[in-house]
Amino acid sequence: MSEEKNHKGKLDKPEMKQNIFEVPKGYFDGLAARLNDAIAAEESELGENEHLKTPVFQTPPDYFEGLSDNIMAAAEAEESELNDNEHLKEMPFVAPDGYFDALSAKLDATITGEQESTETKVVPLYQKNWFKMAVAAVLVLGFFFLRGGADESVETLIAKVDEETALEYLLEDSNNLDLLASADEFDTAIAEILEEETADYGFDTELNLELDYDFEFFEQ
Amino acid sequence: MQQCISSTNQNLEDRDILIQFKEPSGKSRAFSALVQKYQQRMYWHIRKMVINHEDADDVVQEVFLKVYKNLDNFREASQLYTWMYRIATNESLTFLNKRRKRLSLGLDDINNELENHLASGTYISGDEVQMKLQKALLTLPDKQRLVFNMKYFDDMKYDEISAITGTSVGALKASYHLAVKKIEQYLCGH
Repeated sequence: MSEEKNHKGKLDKPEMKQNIFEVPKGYFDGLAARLNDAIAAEESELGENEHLKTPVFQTPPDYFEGLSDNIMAAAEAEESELNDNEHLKEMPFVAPDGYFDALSAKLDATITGEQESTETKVVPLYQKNWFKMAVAAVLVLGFFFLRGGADESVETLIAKVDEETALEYLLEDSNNLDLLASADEFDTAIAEILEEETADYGFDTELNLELDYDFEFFEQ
Repeated sequence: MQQCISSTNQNLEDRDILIQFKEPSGKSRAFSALVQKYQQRMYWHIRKMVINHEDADDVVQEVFLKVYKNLDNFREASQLYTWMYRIATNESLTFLNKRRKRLSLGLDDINNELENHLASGTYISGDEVQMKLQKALLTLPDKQRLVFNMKYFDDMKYDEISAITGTSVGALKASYHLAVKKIEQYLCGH
């Protein structure tokens, strides 16, 4: 143990850590170049041997000239049974009598209706007071009934309930999960309405539709 | 079935419509001309995707409404019919996607629903083999069905489909070929 300690003490001396090996002068300056030369020399044996480079594989004459056409011909041959069947190309769908005669007028009416409705100021659903009141009332009534009644009036309860309290209440008891699930569905429904509305809005504000129209559902 | 028209006359007519549409006094007349000219092509393109006439009618109206709202901004970087096909295509796929999402339906379920429309026979008139082909088409993914419809029924060229869908010609050829193989397999097995 003490011997080991003695050795350790000796090893800790700075002179023991001194590198005793040396390299020829300028060794590192030219190392990269020398390595590159060595690699190139090794590769040149194969690389410069044109005979070895000659492929041993052969193709039938004019194979590549006709390759693309041959592939297309094979594909077309496979498709021909269907492609050449004129009977199958007849579609079984029909439009109601007079549908196309009336379509233009129907579109005019739709456009006029749209224009009239945009002239009326549109208040988003979530900004309407009745909507806020309805959401609050749902939460308050949930409290009221689940707690088996209360002395306070609904108006007083509405004033007292904030969103955080409502959520805390809903989360504190597993019996309230159904109510919470309904709230989730409600949120999803609202999110869908908003998504649809903003999607339409986004479309209307596109300036260069032919360039920016998002062909979102097309993949390979 | 519906040919894609790309003759010079057609382009001139489109341009006339566009010029007229930009004049406030000619807007309504130009739009009517546009509807008259493209209603059949738009309708059949959509109908083949959504199958049911009532749904096709809803989507047709949505498409023309969007065309009306955005025609002022159309810069003619593409041909008018390409632009309209693009909108009709996107609206059809959006419709199917929304239906799937709203009813929480999987691909098979929505296809069953479309197959029920086919079977209902409302505004449908085809013999057994034509109906079988339509049923086979319903086994394809929407986009593959779309490519097949444009190539097979509309005799569109691949570069026209490419301009509409923004997909390479090579990818479209592969998609069509796969669709044909699947359909032939279906027809053999049923």
